[in-house]
Amino acid sequence: MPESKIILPDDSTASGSHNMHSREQTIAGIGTVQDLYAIEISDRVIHNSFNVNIGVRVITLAAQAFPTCWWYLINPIGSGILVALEDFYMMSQMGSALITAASPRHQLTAFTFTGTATGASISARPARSSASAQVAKLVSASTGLTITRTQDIKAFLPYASQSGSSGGPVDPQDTWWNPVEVAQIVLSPGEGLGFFQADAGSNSDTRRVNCDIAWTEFTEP
Amino acid sequence: MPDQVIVVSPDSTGKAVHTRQRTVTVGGVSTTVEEQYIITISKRDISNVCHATSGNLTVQATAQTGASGSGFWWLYNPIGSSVLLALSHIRFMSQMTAALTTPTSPRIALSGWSWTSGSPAGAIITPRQAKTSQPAPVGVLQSTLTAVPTGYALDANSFKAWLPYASQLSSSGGPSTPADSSYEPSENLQPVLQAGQGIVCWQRDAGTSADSRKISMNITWMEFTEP
Repeated sequence: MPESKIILPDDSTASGSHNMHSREQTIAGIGTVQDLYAIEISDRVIHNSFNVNIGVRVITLAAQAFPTCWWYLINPIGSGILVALEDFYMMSQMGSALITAASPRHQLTAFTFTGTATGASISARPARSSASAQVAKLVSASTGLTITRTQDIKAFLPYASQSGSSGGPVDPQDTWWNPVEVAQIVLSPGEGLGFFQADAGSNSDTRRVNCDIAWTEFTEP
Repeated sequence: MPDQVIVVSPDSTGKAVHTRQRTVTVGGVSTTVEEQYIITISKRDISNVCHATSGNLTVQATAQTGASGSGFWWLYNPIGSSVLLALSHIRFMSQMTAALTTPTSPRIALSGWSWTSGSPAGAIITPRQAKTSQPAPVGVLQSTLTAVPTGYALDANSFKAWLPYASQLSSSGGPSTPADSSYEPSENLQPVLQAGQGIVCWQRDAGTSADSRKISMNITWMEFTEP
């Protein structure tokens, strides 16, 4: 359907009047009223959104030392857009029958940076391939960037086991974070997010961590 | 973008209302109608949204008191603040850190508190603002309370509590997913802190001897004024 507009009285340059779409109902004590149909939209001017399964990472005995991360989402310097982390999803599960009684935090940490990312890119699927091309960069190495840690934002705990032989089946750890728009982490140009294992794992750890993210690229009117 | 107004008849200056045109059946007659696009906003004038994570917390063998520095973290709105703070989201996670028998389930609770003067000093956890262009946070999140301010008063009852991971065996209990609970109340249910009010997270009940269970909490609050 084509978009349209209503020219209000006294401004009219349109040919003829328009009907606002409504539903009529009768309310006791008030009478017959019209409820207006409306379409909720974002305050943002959205260029495109992107979804990606980062892949699987195996937990390691040693913690990762930031700025070493599993993945980095950055808004390049001079991009002219803003990047909002819309959706974060982490799952973890055993990789073998193994005692893994450690619970290393997997942490989302903010940073600023200088330089240009040249690390290996992780391809994301645009919500609409016909919309604007991806501007943010999702990389698996910080090559080319000089990173300054700013704040630790979120931490998540994985599956664990105190036995390597008993206990039977278990569902994976499954954590989803999808904040409302006003609470989403927004990256200005020169800002980024890194996701890493902040604490030590277990000996010969085989636990698997799966991570999906989605972000939106936008400007503000 | 500055706020705008639409001046309607007879003062109209010519603003156009954004709509989508459709054809629907009204009273059995095919009718072309306009449906207006709207941007829903909060009744609050939000100046900041702050995100922070607690760091590693450990379940204690002995219960905490929530007072005199006995707790896990403190969020407060300083005296003299001109904004309100709303606790909008907390994710609570708990998991083992060793093969250990931990058959206790202490409540990890949130309680309101207030004070009358002085500063609630302690180690500050710096939050990440949703947008770094937002004003500096007014609310303060601390991992310790080293100086209990004058008139510190803890609410008798907590308003929220979680239970951690537990195990009745230390070697044959097998695999476990962590305790994982998200508290994200609707706007009208969110606890709001006025200046001189705070929230403390503390362990209300005893844990297990040599307890090593880990707790991790993600905390989000909003700062706003009301028109």
